[in-house]
Amino acid sequence: MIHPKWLKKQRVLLCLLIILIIFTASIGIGFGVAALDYNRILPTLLGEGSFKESFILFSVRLPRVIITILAGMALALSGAILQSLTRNDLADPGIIGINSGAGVAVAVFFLFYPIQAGSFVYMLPLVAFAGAIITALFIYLFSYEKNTGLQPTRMILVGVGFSMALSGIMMVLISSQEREKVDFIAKWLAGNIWGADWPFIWAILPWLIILIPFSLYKANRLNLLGLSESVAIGVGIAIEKERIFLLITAVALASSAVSVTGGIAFIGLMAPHIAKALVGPRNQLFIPVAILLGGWLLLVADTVGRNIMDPDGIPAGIVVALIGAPYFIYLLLKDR
Amino acid sequence: MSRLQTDNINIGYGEQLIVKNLSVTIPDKKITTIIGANGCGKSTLLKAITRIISHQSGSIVLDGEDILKQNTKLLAKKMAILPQTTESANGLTVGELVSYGRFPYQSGFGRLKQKDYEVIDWALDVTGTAEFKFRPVESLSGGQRQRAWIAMALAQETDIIFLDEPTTYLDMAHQLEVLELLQKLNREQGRTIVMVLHDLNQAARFADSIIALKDGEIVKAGDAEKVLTHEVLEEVFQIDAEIGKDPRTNRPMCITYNLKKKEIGK
Repeated sequence: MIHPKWLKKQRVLLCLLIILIIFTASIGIGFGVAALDYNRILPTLLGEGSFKESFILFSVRLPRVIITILAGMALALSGAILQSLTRNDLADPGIIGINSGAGVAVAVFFLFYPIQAGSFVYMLPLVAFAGAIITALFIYLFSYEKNTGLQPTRMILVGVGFSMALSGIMMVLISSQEREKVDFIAKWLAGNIWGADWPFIWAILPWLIILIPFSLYKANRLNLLGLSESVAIGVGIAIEKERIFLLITAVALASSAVSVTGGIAFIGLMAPHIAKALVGPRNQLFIPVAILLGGWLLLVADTVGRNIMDPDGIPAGIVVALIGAPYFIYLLLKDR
Repeated sequence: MSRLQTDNINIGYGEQLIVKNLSVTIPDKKITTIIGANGCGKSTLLKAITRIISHQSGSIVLDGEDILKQNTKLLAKKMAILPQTTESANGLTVGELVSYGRFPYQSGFGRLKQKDYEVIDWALDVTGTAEFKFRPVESLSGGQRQRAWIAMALAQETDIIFLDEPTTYLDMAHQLEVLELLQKLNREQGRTIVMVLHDLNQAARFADSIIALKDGEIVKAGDAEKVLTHEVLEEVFQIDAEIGKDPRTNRPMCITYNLKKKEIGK
């Protein structure tokens, strides 16, 4: 029933975004402290590079680019689901406390757990993931009411409250600690993509491979849930069950991303919103656009952030916030 | 034996009961309207019967089984509901909105089949909204929009259709347009219509059976002659009504009314 005009527009946009991602990725691979010549990228990819070239490409740049794209995609999809679920265009994984939940878990783990360098980096995503899931669970419990079930508006309010409380806890936690340790946590919070290694890619990829088709499968239900609760029930949607499944999906996606990238806000807000402005509010149309857009946005932010300042650059999360905050204000002003 | 009845149901929010011990039978293939003052529980009753809210005790039985025990998607093939405030359609076209009514018949990724398209076109035709198929719902007038939403409910192909104040916010002509459409659906296709109406004369004119509610309990139920009486209206609305006959339809109608004088101090 969707007008062919929109379908065509979506296809064109999807192609455009894929080209943009490939283009930005190649720029990102070439740039950096250890430069890789652009006309060497393709030969190196095909296995004809020198040892140094292969090392830079396969062990440094490529994993980083891939993880950035995947995390951006996961955040965008999570935001898209939350926005449809809560019928609120300002919903974002950060708003339901996922970032801060993961943050507190990472801080606690980092500060109080004896560090063994080897296993530490691989434990961190798990810890962040657990923190995010537990926070989401609490938010769900507090916004659940016996008679009316899960109220989306209430969930946002509870989420914002949790998010603030957890940020406060984090301040207390890190204010009494040594500088060195605080540095890492501060960077994590700012959204520094640190998990740029192949194992992290294998950790995040399955979520996307399963949950992207799952979300598209649920697109029609999301459309109806976005319309009105009564209408959704009336056409036979088991509304409570769907909400829980979709909420878990959104949390899983966002946590898997946040666990390797640190606290990145605004991608989950911006990508679905821009996608809706481009192809309209139908979930099956805007979700794929939002996913690619999210991947691309985070990739741009990381590429810019990585090269803008020597020697370490600035975290991608900060670059995203620099674009995202004005966009958020624009959204607020536009609705008035 | 009627397909749909409630047996001693209690419905409430928290501690407060809105509908108390209510037992009612909805006659098949007839138009039933529910009337009553604001807050008497008429919308609540409609929402409970359509499982939008759950009832605390008692049972609501459709085809021999409590609705809360039935599969909600299968139930959506038996009854459709048009809620009171139909929210903004989010940029959807009329055709898309109506296609959402096909949800109970879809599986997998929800691709529409030939049969779905036929039903959608039929629903658009019968509600006179076919010309708006590719127009955004927002661009329609109130009456047209209401008909588009009715078309969505029709696309569900259910024997029973519930409507919560389908004529609110419409002007006199559009109110009649909607009611006549429902009457046509009832007469020509034998669909059971259950609706909440505010206008007593419209209720008397279109309904085969009227349920008058007060404080969550039934004051009187039956045909218009039985319910639209001075005594019933006095109890339900605290009004002193003058009942006459509609010269065109011969149905009872409330010609004029006054508020019942309240005794000072009570």
